[in-house]
Amino acid sequence: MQPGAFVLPLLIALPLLGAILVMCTPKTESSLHRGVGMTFTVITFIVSLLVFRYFNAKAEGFQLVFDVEWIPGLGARFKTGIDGISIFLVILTTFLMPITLLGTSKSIEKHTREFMAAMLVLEAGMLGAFVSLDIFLFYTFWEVMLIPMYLLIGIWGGQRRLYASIKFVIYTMLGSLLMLVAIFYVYIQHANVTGVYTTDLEQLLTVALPHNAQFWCFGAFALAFSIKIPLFPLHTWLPDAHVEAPTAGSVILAGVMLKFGIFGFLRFAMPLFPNGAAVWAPVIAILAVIGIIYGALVAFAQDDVKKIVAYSSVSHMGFCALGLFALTPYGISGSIFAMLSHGLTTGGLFLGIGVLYERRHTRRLAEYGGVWKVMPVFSALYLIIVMGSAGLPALSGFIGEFLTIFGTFNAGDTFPASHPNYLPSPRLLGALAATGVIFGAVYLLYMFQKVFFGKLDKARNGGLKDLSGRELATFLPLVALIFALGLFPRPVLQVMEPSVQKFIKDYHRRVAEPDGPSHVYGTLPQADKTADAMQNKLDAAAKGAQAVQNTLGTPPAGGAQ
Amino acid sequence: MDYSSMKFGGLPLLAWIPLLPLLGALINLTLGRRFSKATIHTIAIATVGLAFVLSFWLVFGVPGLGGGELWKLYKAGGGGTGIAQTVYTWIEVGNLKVELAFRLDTLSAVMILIVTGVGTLIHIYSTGYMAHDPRYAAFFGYLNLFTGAMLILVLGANLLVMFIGWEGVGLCSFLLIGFWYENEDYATAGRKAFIVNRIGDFFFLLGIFLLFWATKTLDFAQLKSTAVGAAYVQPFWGGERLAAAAAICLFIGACGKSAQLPLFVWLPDAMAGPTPVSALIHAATMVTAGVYMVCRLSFLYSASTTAMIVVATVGLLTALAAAFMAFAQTDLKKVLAYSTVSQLGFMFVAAGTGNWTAAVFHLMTHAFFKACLFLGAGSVMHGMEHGGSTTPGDITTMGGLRKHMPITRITFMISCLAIAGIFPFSGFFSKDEILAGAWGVHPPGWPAMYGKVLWIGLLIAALGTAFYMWRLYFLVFSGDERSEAAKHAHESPPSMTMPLVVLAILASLAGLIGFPHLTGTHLPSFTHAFASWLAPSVTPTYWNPGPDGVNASELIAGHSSDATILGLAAIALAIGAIGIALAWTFYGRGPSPSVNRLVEGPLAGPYEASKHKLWFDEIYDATIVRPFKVVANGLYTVVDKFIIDTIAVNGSALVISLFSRISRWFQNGQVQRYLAGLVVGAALVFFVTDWHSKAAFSYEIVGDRLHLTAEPGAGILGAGTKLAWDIDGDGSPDADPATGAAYDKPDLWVLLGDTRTRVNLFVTDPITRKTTKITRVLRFPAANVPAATSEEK
Repeated sequence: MQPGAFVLPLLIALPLLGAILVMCTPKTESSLHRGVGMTFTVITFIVSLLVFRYFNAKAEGFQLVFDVEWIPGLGARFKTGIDGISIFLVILTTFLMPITLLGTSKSIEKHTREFMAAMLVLEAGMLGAFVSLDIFLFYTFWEVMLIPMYLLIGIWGGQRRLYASIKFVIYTMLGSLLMLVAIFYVYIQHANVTGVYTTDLEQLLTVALPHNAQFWCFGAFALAFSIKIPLFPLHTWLPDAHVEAPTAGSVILAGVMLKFGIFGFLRFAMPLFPNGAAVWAPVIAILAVIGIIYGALVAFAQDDVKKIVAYSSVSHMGFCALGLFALTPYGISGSIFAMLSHGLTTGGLFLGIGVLYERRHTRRLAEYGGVWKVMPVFSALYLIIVMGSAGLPALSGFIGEFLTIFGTFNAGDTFPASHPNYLPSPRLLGALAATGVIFGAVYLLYMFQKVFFGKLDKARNGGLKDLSGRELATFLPLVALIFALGLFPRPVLQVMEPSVQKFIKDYHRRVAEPDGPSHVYGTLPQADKTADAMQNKLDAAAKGAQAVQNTLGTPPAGGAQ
Repeated sequence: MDYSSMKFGGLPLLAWIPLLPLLGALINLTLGRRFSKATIHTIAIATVGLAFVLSFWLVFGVPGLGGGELWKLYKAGGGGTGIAQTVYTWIEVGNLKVELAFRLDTLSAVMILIVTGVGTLIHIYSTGYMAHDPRYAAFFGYLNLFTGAMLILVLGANLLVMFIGWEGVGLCSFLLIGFWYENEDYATAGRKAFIVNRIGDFFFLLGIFLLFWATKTLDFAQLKSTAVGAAYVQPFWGGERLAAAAAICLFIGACGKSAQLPLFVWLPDAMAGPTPVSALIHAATMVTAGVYMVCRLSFLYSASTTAMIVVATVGLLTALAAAFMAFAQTDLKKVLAYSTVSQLGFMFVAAGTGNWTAAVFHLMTHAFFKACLFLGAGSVMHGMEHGGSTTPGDITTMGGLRKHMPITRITFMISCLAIAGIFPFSGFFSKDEILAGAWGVHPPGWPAMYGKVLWIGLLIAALGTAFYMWRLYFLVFSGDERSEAAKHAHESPPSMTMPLVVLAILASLAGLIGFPHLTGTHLPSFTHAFASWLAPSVTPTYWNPGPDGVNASELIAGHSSDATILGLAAIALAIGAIGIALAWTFYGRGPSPSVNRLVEGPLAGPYEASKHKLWFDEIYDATIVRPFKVVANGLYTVVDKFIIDTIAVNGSALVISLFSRISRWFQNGQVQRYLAGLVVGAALVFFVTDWHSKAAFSYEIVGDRLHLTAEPGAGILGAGTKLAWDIDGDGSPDADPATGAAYDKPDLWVLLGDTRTRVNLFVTDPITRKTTKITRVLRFPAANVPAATSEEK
């Protein structure tokens, strides 16, 4: 056990404990339910900050690893740990949870006890999935998250909540079942090669699979994760789920759950099936770019505020997917950063819609207008969040957007190995993605103008009250973090850097493994011949790079400033 | 030289210049609603004023307080390096390291003095102009925020820090144009400004990406260094040069910010904002950011004559088009807006001809006289409003205001003289510098005499400028009052007239530091002060890739003789005078009847074109805005709702629910139905498996043997069939001659010698007892053809 190993299991246990406790309280004591929920999410947040005490930001690899036997017959272990990739996602989850409860719990009037329990179980599931280092454990938590979210939409949702919740569940299940098949395949192959039955991720990663199998397995994983992200054209469950979900559900769905798509690629799909990833990368990158533009265009066509933000998620998560598959340090760091920023800004956008909805019980754009006049504080804070989402420099959204596009633009070194010539160049993809800068401003400002600007001519808007102290307390931390991440992204990026570099290094090492039957990496008998060919290729590439260097001249030492 | 110790309160001094107004903004935007108006504007003016004092102290020094670090550097020949200070490292990933760093060189010094100086005056003016606005704190907060962002833009030491300011001023522009947001048109104008700017910013970002991709740096000093500079002239995509691609991308960004063709459309609408905003943001500072950026990257632009000709041509076309559009406007601020667009075009022509100092010189003089004009316009509108006008900007209702607003009138006139280019007002010198530079320019790769084309074009634009500006002046101040409101207008309070006077003085005198270089006459050195001051910060040369790849450099702007310079100046002066004279003829005593005759007669077409700004908005609406909406709606209803959701998602759900319905119908609990299902199912199995499975056989010749394989039908029925082979084709089943066993196996080996060319297989169905005969004629290799089969008996 590593120092601080207890923190992560504790993080999973605390919300579960809270859920059990809250279910033991009397049914009618809704303020008690809220109190228990708040207490446990706040404690979880505080405990999650302990992670920083034990986490060594300079080291690569997993830390705070907790590892005990779980299901011996299957070889499944209860193994948790974090690295620079997951650490901030964990903090994002524990941070958003109390904020969400604070901002929205008043609007839940029926079954508050079950609501709190669902939220707490959801938190446990999400935290568990972020820290799992055992693929079976991950799959378990992945499914655990699904149930409370299904209930949140199905019980506390809007008019078409049944349709939306069933669509959400079936979509997610469809993807995850194929993923389960692929998990079994990997599990069996690993046992065939090594003789050990285990679902420990780090053990599974030692075995190289045939390229053909990698292609199909990656496809199965990619389907599950692409639905979660969601990538075009697998996104239509998202607007429905968002529109019907209660505010708390929307915040958590957009703020945290969508991140599992990207996270799943990073943690599982790409390390396990590097050659599959190499083949699929251009496809996903193109779908991501389509999603960026498509999501922004369709967002503009909505008249429901929540749908606008829902489609904006499609657009923003496209940036994350694109940056990830650029496979450059800028792109991947940017992708993770964009997820954090998206969690804050989109969470804030949904919370703000919740504030309006509580007062007016409508989400139609046409029902609003001139709200700034009666709610100046709220409007100003909302403007900051909107600008953060639109990628204004010095706010958090810009850093993620810039780095992902930047990473794609500079993907020249990593793309071509897997990159058929008929597909667009990374530069073109980057440039196309950058149009999101324009379109993002188009729909976000359109929405902002329709709600906050213009005449206050709807009588029912006249009496809107500005933010209460409680609501202010939910928005101020969000806005402060949006500023903090935009102005001081470096500390966050520095913590990610070793893990991101390791990810890229491992990816390149694994992807260079020649094709063959399943085997432990580096032990393929006929590897010599292929290795020679690879060496020749590398030599040729180095020669080309030298030629470019010669013509361009040597860049100044010290890198960019 | 190391300036890292130059700090105050733990932060580098340079950081305080933008930080002071930003702090003011923070205070006023968060707490301002509880403050009195006096407190609000004291905070706002004090922070900008302090920023001005600090800038001045850093650049020139203040008597008794020391300072003047940049001046000392400039004297020592380091004006181009300037003072560089890093606040902290902003972004760091892999090789990308972006520091929040500022650099004060002679170019950014000019800019910060303009921004803080003119900014302070406009803040003071606003105390009078906005005195009765309920959102006083928000207004001053935004103004301060803008000033801070603009200072970050000009002080940024790398492209990304510049981009922070670049977007920041865009945000403030959006907020201030839509300041009176209750008017939907104003709010839309603000949004339009932001989005058009974002289109430019998209290209700006592309330029940044291209530059980093090729050079691995974004820092201006490193981009400027010779080592990196060599990359600009190397072949690039399709033989183009990097410099051309990156410079043109960045220039499109400048077109957005500086309202050049084809992205100028937001600026006229931006006049919806309060007039001090128009003066500060949409005349004096923000819109010149594009010019500043091109000059800041002069080393990049001068590396590509292609980029230069694009810049110059766009500038010229904009100067001409905007001047044309200004003719028919009847709104006071709209005329000034088009005039700003036109003057920015002049600056870009200067930049495009490598005449960097002239571009910045005109930027400065323009900041003075245009800010003065806008503030004067605000003063006029203020007066008209007090006179009872509901459309205070409509110049058709003015006239005769010289009697009521003497200070405004004098300052307005001085500025009009300056913009028309009349000696010795500042505009004369800066405009002449641009014209003379265009005349003498001769870069390789440009069409012959293109400099002269630019010169003639600019002369026409200058003629137009003098005409429409003086039209405006005469319509506002001369003749008789054309409305009651004009009769009751009165002069504005001192808080508004004081900045007017200061700006008018600057507009009159600022030109004297930029005399043309006359080699024959010895003018005192202060008359060239401006050009000498800027020279270290801009690149007067362009990269010329020599035949052996060695970079040679060459002057773009040629040196003309004294006679040429004086002759050109005389022509420019004459043009300005002609413009004023024309305006006097038509409008000297109010609109003359001859104007109406012309406008309704021979000039009706051009008049309409000018009034509707060449229908740019309508064209964009038809080609971009509407199609965008149609595509967005179409994608949503067709792709999202119909193809994906209805067909793919709900369609597959429907198919599955159909299956479930069918299976539900079967499982109703009645044994009879289950049995019926069983029978039908079994029958189906038989039917399907025997479908199309006629009996057949295949053969294979292996050495001296024939291998026969019977396929008595693949279905279940095939299992019980009886087979009989007739290997000599005589029509009766045969047996093994050696053992006497009948040939009845499905898999049979026989000697070739026993066979003939025809083989029959008899298949007897076990249920129907019907026998089928299958016949095949064998094909043998030519070597061992057996005897032909005898006729069947």
